[in-house]
Amino acid sequence: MGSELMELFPREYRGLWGRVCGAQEHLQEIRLRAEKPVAVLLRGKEWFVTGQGEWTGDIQKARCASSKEVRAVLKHICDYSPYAYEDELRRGYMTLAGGHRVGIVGETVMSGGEIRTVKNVSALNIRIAHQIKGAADDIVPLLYERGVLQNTLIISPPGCGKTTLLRDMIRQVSDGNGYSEGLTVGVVDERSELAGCYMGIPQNDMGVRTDVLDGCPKQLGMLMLLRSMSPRVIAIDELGSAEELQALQVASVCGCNIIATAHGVDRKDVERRFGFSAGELEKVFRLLIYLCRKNGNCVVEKIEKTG
Amino acid sequence: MLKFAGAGLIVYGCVGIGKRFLDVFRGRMHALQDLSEILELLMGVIAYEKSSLPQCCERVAEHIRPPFSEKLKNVAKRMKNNEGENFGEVFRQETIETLTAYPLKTEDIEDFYAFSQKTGFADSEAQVRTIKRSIEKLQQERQRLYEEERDKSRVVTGLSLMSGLLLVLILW
Repeated sequence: MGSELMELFPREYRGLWGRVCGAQEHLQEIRLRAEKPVAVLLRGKEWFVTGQGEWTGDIQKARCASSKEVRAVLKHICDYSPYAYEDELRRGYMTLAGGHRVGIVGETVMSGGEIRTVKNVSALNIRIAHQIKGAADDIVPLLYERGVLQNTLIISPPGCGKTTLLRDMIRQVSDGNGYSEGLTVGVVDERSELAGCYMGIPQNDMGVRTDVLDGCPKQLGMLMLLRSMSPRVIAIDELGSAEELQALQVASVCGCNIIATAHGVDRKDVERRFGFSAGELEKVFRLLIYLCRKNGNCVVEKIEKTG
Repeated sequence: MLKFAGAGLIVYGCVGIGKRFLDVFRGRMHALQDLSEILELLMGVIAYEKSSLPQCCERVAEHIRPPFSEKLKNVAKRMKNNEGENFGEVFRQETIETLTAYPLKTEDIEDFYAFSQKTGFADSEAQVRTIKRSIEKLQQERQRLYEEERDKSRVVTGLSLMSGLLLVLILW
């Protein structure tokens, strides 16, 4: 497990990362900023990394990453061929083997009003993928009504485990469970967060009957999946526009069941935030699951049935 | 009779040495051509597929003969194993043995490796240009050898024959 994370670093820097990578199981983020202290997020708490590779809470003892190190790590991650990751650089993040994601910032190069690439990369945010199998165990029984999957929307503020829950729901719906046989699931993973595809192959276990369309805008992807893979269930992460909701309606009319997530505190907040008219969510979703954080843990706050 | 046979063998031996010299010379020309072809294939894959350098090595290996096909496959494999080495290092380590077995000069080998030391471009065109420069250098050298070949061949054949005859005269 630790060596998988170690593969992100070129040989000359590996000595500094042995201890940190050894704690991969509890590691959430590594932040490398040029000329700034190296920081890691471990079990929800920020730590700094010393020159000996130990972590410390004292920023004075932290090692600063050089610009050269940041660029060397990016070059290594890109297989010494950043040109092959042009699209990823343009959108500011890339998914790696194992489903880990690297966020990239620096100086953007614009062309014709669009971002062409990012040069002089100054910081990397390595987010370590953790799939929690069984995260949806308590929710899955509620998803079915007389053996039929209900259209479900998971609503929560950021950092409450929406994506983790959705990922496990997809896996269990796809593989089959005690309440229903396995169903064909089509996933549109616009930001490669759900399946963590690397070279088109999901790095997370998404279930045996799941087809993932990676890196595709959600509203286009849903229609593409409907035409090409005839899924029984369509799943998307972070529903965020009226167009996407329309595409979900189309999918629903075509007989697909929907599982989705949205940022927000409650239904009204979601409707206001994304410009949905009142009651529009109810037309598509039968079940609304609200998540929140209590005592540092992600918990289900409320489950609401519509209609 | 024995004397004539000995003289014939001496002349034959000298001409053989000259031919061996010419074979090395022509071998270098062919090797330069082979190296240019490998680089052209790499360049084509980058330009068309925008694949990473290790992936390009894997693709090109499918289109060339051993021993280079094996060596390029090894490059891709080692990069996949990801021991933290950089591409230039791995590429050199995997191919140097094969290259030194060819009748190539050190500068030919360095021209071939030049592109592998210049990586990390965000633009595939820039990476393609580094390979193009390596190809140009190899082709220029090959062209120079090609132009010299006819004269060199005449001189070497003539000299080897003459030296054989001279040796026969001295030993007669």
